[in-house]
Amino acid sequence: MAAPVPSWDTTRNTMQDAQAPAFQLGPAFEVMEPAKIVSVIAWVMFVFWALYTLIAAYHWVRYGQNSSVAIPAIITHIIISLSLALFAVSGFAP
Amino acid sequence: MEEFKLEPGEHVIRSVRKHWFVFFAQLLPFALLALLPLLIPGFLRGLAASAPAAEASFAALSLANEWARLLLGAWWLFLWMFAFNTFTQYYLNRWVITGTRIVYIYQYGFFSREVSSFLLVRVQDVTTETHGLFATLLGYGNLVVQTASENSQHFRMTGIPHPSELRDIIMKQVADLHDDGKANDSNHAVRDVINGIL
Repeated sequence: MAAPVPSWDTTRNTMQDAQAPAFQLGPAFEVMEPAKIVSVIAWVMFVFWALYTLIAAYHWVRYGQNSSVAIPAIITHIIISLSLALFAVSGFAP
Repeated sequence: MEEFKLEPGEHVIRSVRKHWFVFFAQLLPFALLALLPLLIPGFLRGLAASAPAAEASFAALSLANEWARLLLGAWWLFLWMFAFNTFTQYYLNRWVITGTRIVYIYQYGFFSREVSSFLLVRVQDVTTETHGLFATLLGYGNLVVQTASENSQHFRMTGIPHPSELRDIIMKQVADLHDDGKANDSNHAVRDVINGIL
């Protein structure tokens, strides 16, 4: 006897007799520890932030060096950025 | 390093940036976007009040959850960098009015900058524009300077404080330069007449 052929239910717009596999994360995600994920995200954030800060500081120093605002602005940016970064990773502190 | 050097005898009369209100108005979207993640969990909990199961899952969206803190911190850091970029642009964009010329410095973005310099004797027309309630109350607006040259150009600075005052300063400098020019011309004429007599 031939195996039953899955039929299309037009009233519900679904396939009958066909079981959809449950959604699962790949094996790489199952073995990855939260600490590793956090460290990867933190590194990406840091690289992006460091590049931005270098470029911004270059513009401030080159085009605003005669101003008394340049250095305080860069220092403020670094302090606030580091505070936010510490807040971001504070939940994972050992 | 300055983009321009003052000529001997040239002095800076006024250096102008955008009005502080215009700057804070540019920061407002960042403030709203920063507050948005704090409002979303409460909103979702309110929607899911009738479904206890959903409410329990939304309860994880609090600052006690380390992943929520990570995302929130990253989001705020991202917004802060954009806000700081706005401040950088605000600070580096300016007009410098000297006794003989106007220097127009505009920072479009990182590694994109325009510096124009035009002589005051070439200024043909100075127009001020003030539109809107806040601009009228706080006294900021636009200043448009048209130069008389082969290819007449318009230089516009938007959102500067007290544009009428700046227009008067520019026009006074232009008038002084023209007066000096006429005085020099008349001195030359007198000298020519004297030389002719002698």
